[in-house]
Amino acid sequence: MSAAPKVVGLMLAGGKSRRMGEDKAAMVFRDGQTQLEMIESLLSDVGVESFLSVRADQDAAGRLDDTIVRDAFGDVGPLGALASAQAMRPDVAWLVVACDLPMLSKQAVEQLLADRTPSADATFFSSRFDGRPEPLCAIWEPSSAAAVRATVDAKKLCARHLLEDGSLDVVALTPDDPTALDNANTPEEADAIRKQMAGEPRQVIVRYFGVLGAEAGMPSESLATSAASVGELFAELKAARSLVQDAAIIRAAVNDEFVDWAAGFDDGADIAFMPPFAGG
Amino acid sequence: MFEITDEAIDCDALKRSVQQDDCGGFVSFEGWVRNHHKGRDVVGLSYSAYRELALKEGTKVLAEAEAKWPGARVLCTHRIGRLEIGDVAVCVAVASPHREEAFAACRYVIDEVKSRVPIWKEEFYADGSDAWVGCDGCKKGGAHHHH
Repeated sequence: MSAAPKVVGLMLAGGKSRRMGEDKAAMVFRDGQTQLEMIESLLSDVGVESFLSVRADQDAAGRLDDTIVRDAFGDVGPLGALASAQAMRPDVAWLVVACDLPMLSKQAVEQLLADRTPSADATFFSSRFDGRPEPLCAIWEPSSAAAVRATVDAKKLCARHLLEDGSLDVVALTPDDPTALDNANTPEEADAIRKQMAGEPRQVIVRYFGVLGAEAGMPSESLATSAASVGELFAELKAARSLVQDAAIIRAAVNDEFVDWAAGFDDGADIAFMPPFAGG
Repeated sequence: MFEITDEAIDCDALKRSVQQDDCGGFVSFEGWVRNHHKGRDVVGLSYSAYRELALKEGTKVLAEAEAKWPGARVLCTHRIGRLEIGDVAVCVAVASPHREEAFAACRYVIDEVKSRVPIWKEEFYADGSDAWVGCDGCKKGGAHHHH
């Protein structure tokens, strides 16, 4: 049995960033690094060589030609970029990473590499929002090239559909760090992510159920908080509203899903604190 | 289907809904409001719910029961709001080809609903006091507001 194909990174910087209004790859979110610098450094940290994917006529910022993959399929998007990469180097597995994932962590990429299944056609994470394939950080094996090329030739451009339509043998992973794949496509999304990173205030709705509602003196309220997790938020509110109950017997939910105390939340989140249930 | 209603539960309707010619066994459970709790005289109670999450979790429970006991048809309705002594708080209806599954699925559903569905019960006592039930681990001393 031959060894698994080497994994090589493809950083997608060929998007037009229309909705953002500025080049997403050049945006800075943390540590003073541009998104591109952050991803390149992350890939280097995990030992993966990286190539820059650009449009056919895009300025490649002084990079050497042999570290660039120029789009050869009419700049139709990420699948075309991948097809271009697979045509150039059909022998490697391409770890495709979008440039609009400000929260991407080394942990997330390491999990993808560790749980990669080379005998499948692709390994990806499932989205924390809808459970569907998240193609923005995924490994595409050489065996996926024919299907990718056929899809692009047929002018079908949705990578997510290709990963879920059954034509490829795929492996879906549940990310240990679910927020790592949150992407920022618009200025509003970028702002929300920046606020979350900086611990800046987010406006949320908090619902107090059961005895908590009696203790708080209200069933719910809208407030601004810098808390990074629901656990921190509960601690803040326990003090501010003189709640008597301990977190140990309370359960939390964010946007109608049970979460544990470490869970974060975005601007506009609907957060519920629930004492022990007594239905039936 | 798991449902939440603020009106009286029609248990017969649930029974008719699960009834099917290929089912030979029917088991149902009704939770009634009783007049005592831990030695205290209860005069009424009030159920409240986190509706969206309760519907989600209750639906999951029913799906689990039907998966664990293939062939079983399961329905459950829980009532919220002010209930008087003798009112039906919850009804579970199960029909299945044979009785074993019906008993087991019914037991499973009521046990899981009580444990996992975000519904709360405030009890009112003959002496005018009230308490949040199921909160044995809860601390006392919070301000109480009557609605």
